[in-house]
Amino acid sequence: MMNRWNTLLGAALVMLASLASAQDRPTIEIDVTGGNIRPVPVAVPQFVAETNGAQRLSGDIAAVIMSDLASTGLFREIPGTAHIAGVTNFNAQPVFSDWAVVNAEALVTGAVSTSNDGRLVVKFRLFDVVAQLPIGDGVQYAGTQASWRRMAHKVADTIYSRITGESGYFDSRIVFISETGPKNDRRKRLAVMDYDGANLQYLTDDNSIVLAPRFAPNGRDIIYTSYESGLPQVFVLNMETGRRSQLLENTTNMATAPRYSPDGTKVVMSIIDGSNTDIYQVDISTRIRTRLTSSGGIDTTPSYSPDGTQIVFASDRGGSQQLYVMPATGGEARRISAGGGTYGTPIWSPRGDMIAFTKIKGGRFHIGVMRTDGSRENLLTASFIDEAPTWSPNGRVLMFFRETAGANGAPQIYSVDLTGRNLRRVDTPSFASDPDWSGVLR
Amino acid sequence: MQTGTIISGIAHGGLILAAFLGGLDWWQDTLPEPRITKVTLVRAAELDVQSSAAPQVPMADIAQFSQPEITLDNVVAPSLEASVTETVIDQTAAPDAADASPDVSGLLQPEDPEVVVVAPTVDTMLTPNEATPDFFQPALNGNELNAPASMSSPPPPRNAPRIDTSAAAKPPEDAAPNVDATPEVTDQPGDTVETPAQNAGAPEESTTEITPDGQQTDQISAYAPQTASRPPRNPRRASVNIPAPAPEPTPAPDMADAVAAALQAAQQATQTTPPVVADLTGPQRAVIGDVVSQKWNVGRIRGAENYEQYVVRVSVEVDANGQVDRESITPVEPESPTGYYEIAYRAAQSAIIQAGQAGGIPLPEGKFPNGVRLVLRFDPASGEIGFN
Repeated sequence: MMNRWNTLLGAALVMLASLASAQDRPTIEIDVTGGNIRPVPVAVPQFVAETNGAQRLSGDIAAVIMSDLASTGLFREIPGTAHIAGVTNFNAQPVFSDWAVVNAEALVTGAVSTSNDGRLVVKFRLFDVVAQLPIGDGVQYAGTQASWRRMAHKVADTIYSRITGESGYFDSRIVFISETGPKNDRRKRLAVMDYDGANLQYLTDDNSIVLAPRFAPNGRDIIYTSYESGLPQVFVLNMETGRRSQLLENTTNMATAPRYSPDGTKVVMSIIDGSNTDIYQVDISTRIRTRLTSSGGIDTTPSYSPDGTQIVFASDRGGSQQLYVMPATGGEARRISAGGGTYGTPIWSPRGDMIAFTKIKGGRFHIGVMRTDGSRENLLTASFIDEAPTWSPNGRVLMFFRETAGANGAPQIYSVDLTGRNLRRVDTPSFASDPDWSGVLR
Repeated sequence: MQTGTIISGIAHGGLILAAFLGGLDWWQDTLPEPRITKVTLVRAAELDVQSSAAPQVPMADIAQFSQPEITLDNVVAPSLEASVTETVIDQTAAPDAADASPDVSGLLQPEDPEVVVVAPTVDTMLTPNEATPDFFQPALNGNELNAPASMSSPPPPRNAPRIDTSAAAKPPEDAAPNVDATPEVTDQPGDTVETPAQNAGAPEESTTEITPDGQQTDQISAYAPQTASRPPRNPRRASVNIPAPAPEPTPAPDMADAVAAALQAAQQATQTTPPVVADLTGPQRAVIGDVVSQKWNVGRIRGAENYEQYVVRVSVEVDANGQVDRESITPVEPESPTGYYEIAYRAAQSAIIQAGQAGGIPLPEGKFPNGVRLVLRFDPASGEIGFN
């Protein structure tokens, strides 16, 4: 009994001492300004293979995750050769000092296993090495073994989201025009691939010219322009079934530059009627078209705002090609571009706050962004030809194609961060142009 | 001579004839207007569209092109991968083995230690463990240029009195009036003005003691403020409160009373301790801010939309040697950061810890023997042009 009282008294005195000590410390408030922008050093050691069949994929999955993160420019890989410790047990707490000594600030541990029915299970945890704390809960993904890259992309999306606060974009696809052959006889095919260039698949042959493919919001349908009938017409292709249909039947009008509405129920495009080019909206279910512009100029490359209430498009109605915004139901358009030069291929950001565009000024092509009212124009690139930007699903990255000059000039797809940093070429097996970025796959 | 005249006549006649036959129009045609070519910039795709427009095809043939559905034989239709199911791993599950780690068998450890990994949720991790005041009550000695204003701890009165209360000396005994009159100057030449005679010395004092108007009496001073209040200042510039030592608990007759007395004394220490003053100079404060700023990766939050709003204030205890107590790092504002605020807080937390690891917080030597509690305010727009 006496010992118990002594213990209580001791605890009370310790509490008193700590409180008194804390009270003795003055409080000083200080502003921290400036800071720096640098990639977050992250270590992704090989995942633990919990079953024999998962040995091969354990390293591949970690490599894809690291490649995804590094491609953003926001993360820097701590290479495996620098690791002084590995992870042999997914459930064990990491020895943070081993990772701090190699300057890792984030650590990803994971495990891979296969079940008896052949399904693949990938689980991971993310740690803040500096604070020596986990960042969020552990997450487990299950799927077919063939979908291991998608699971790796999803892990990378989760890590990206937890560290940056933004949604990821790695589990997404790109549809584009694959080009082969000499410049004067270029063969064009519709192709789709993962955002990082993997899993390339061709959707059409090269018997006819195809242009301007765009994903539907459902991620399964693609709308594009084809010359297979001799005239440019808009087609809809379902990637799961391979079935195609012409959007506007029994028409002699040429149609180009289609793009889906955010809800996927409508398509807005340019239709050439005689010498006039105007913007039309076509209802997908009824195939009824509605004319939205009627100016004497060429109105083209329309794009919906994310809420579907407005359309941005390019027009030369004022003399030179500029960007205009009008209600999605048509009506008065207001010019938003005012930076000199000519503008084209506008596309609204998925966030809704920016519009990306192609700008030509001083004989140079630029990819740029501006606010939806035309303010705060910022040119991100400059080249012989940079054209056709498309947004990543989170609105943080732009992809476009760059064509080199000369007789051997050819297009390639590039990506650049919204801030103009981290310009990278996307690997494709052939020349590539006119990319369109899907949403994050489900 | 005659031949030349003939040639000239023929030439002029020809010109006149040409003029009559419409040659005037010919002259005008030789000076055409500059050709104006209107160039409209179009994309390559649109150029293809317009250049390929060959409306030579009969309508009957065009109708044949309308094929509502086409199935390709030689194209592989991509299949979206089977859906991936996502499961949140139960973070409360205890691990069943330890990770690869250095040989620690030489250390005194209980046999077969069971390593328990408890992955706390973010909310748990970020819950503040102490309340912080909304406003800082500065209490300096009042004479510093950067000192904040405070009515609760007035500065001491000035040393020099405003009014000399000592009596003036009497005039000397031999002092006499000045009898020499000085003529006044006027604007009229030769005019003089008679002026009365004046005494050169001071008038004789009626008393040997002078009482100033603002005489201090006990009755007045009991209610009057000792000093005037200082103008208000930015509350986040500096505020330092050093409370007086807590009163020692009186001995208790038994254990229960001792515990109660100790707890009561601790509670009083947190509530009624008068502040004692200490402060950092502006350069000292700037040095600390720079040390933390060098480790602050503001890029983590700069990508956020309207990132300039994600300002966080973080509290940390630092000992006298500048070592950071990482367990004491807590969010002050917002108290429970979520979303982008959580990202901003985590970046700030990392900066503080790394600054501590890189050499500590540069506190003035010997100025804070008990350490200091820093409240650091991280403003992601502070280094950006246009936000300062």
